[in-house]
Amino acid sequence: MHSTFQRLNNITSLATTYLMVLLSLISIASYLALPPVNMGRIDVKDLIIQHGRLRRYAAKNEELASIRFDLTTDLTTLLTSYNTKQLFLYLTASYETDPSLDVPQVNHEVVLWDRIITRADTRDFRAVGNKMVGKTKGKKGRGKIRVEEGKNVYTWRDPSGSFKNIPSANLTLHYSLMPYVGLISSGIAATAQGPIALPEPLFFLPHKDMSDSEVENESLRDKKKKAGDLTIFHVKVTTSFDKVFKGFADKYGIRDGVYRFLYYSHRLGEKQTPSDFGMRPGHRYGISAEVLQEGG
Amino acid sequence: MFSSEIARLRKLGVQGLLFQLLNLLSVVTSGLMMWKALCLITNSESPIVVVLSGSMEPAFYRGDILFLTNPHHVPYEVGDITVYKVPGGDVPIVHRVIESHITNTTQLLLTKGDNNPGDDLVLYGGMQWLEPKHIIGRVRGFLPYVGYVTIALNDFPQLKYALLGGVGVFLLLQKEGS
Repeated sequence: MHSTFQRLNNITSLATTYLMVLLSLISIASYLALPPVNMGRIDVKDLIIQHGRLRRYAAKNEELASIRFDLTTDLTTLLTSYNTKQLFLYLTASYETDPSLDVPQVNHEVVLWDRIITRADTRDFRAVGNKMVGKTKGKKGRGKIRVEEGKNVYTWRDPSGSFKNIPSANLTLHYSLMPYVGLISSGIAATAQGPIALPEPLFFLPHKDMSDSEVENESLRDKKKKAGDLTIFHVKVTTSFDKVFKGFADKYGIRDGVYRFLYYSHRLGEKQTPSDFGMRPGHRYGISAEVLQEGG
Repeated sequence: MFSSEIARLRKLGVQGLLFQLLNLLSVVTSGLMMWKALCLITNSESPIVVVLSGSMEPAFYRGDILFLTNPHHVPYEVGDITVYKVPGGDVPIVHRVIESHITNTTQLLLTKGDNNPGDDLVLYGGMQWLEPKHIIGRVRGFLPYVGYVTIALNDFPQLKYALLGGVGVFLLLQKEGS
């Protein structure tokens, strides 16, 4: 005796079973047939370490690293594979404590930059800085990745608050492939040429005439500055001034050419070195930054 | 309407009724056993979870089903999508690991939802880092849409009771061998 209910029950359970078998076959097949990736490359343009605070409650003053990098890779084969919904690209820095030091060993891995590329994207990904370019008029394609002058989007810091026990870091671009159905897979899409040495930190200390709060609370980006305004800061000079300027610009979010830097009313040029002004490496000097344009 | 069913119940007698009850119990317990076996194999307290929020879009949407594993002593890696539950939090959260610091004793983790602007520090309830003991598992497999059934059952509790009651009555009344 077969009632309508039983017939319906049989049909749905049969359909569900077949659908599940089909979906599992698809996920296994697409996982096994994952195309290989041509290794791309990462070029580190600049890496500076400076003191600062995270923008959160009760943040401590700690060493923060900022990086600029160029990145090229081609993930077309992965993106056009039939079971690919999206690729999550992430640039990581992995580093560990100097093994020769008598301090607890810690293995670190942090994400510095990430980007989601979906199957619906019909243009190659191209970005300068953290802005995308050619979103509408770029070359038609899928999966070619090119980033110029990319910056870390996540703050790079160490739980200890300092990078002093860390000699170098390895940079790697990973991908994580999200399928429409099935297993999540991941791999490496680009690497840097070798480990990157971590530099000595730059110091931007408030001048003793300015109170701490004035410097910490009124970052230059929040307050409109008048032309001629001076910000005085102390800097521990290492090799050349361009890193100092870059660090200052990154910290306060200012554009090139809006500021000039002075040491006792002498203009400091990017090409000049501290020894041109009789400064000795490792010592601290008061330098002032003068606003040239309104609203900089 | 129910006269035929009542007649059938009468025909079954006490013994038959108890036998049907036993059938019902074996269905429930075998389901539970399979779930617990899956927990043992994957070493996760909840190897199948349903996505409840949009914080991982466009990778996961509400109602997608995730399959987790949590092998013992395998450290979590940056980029892994983990499901974690902090003490005092009521729902498990599915987010990606963006920082990992492995020390001699533990691993410190920071997570972030792909679709969220900031990291998860505010979700940790005062903790600075997530540790492996808070993590239920890492996402290995993905099945879209199917989990929406449970979201519907949670959003409309009447549906849940109707379904449970319906299944129970059906199993009790089911004729043996049919």
